Amino acid sequence: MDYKEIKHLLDLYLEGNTNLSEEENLRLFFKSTKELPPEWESFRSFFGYYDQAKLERYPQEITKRKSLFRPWMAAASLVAIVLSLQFYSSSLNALSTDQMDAQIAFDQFKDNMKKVSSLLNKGAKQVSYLDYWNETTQKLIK
Amino acid sequence: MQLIADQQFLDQIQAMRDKIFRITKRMLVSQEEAEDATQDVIVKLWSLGSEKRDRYKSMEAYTVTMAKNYCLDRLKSKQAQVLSFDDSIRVPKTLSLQKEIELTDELNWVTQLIDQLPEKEKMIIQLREIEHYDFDQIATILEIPEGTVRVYLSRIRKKLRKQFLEIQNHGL
Repeated sequence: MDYKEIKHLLDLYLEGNTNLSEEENLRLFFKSTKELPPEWESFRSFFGYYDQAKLERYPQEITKRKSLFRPWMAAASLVAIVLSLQFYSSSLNALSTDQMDAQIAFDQFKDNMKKVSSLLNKGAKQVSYLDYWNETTQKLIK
Repeated sequence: MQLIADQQFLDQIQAMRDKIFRITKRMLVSQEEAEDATQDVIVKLWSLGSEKRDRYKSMEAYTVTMAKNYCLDRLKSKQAQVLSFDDSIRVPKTLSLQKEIELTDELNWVTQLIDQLPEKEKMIIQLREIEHYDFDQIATILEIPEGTVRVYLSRIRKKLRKQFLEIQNHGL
């Protein structure tokens, strides 16, 4: 196609008077011709863009709603757990003097309570005979 | 019989899906929204049932019309949301500074110019220049006379070219 013909087609094109096959010819011309009059460069850009746009496809794998979870988050949370455990155990080891006193007092209290409760249990053992007594009296009443 | 009709529908849809996606993406811009829109349009078509679908002369034109109306509804409700928050919001039609910097080559200029067209003009460009529909199909889809399609198309082509030359000569 010579330039005169192209010029004519371009005029028709801008008026909205080209048919689809004429527009296809223009498309092919701009695709295949390297040297263009500068005033036609814009047409090349437009036709080039339209060609490219037609290639867009619906994504084959439907992109799922982006989940907020990422693999690196699993690693990060693991690190966080390890660090917090370490911090927790080290804070247990390093007790202040106040805490030491409290600990000693608590241990003593615990010992005392243990003694009390063991004595209580002894008493309770004696009391459990009462159940036996109940049983036998019920037999007699019958 | 139903199964055969369903299979036919699936084949037709397979061929149409990319088109629906491109058209909805042109209108809605966002990739994710366009994917959702494509799904919704297909489901809607499916739920019509084969008898009703067969009644339409051109399934393709009908589908594209459906996609167009879907997008217009979406855009309308979005706009309504924005306006209910702040009535004074006006989306500026000029390119933002950030985007100006990104514009390096001419294909990007074209992208920007088409992106800022009004919805109707975007649709006409998409249907004619990218999907290569003929004038009476476009007239059916947009529900306007064929002559009007030509007038619109001519106006848009001239406008885009003029804007492109302005960028070329003076920069953005």
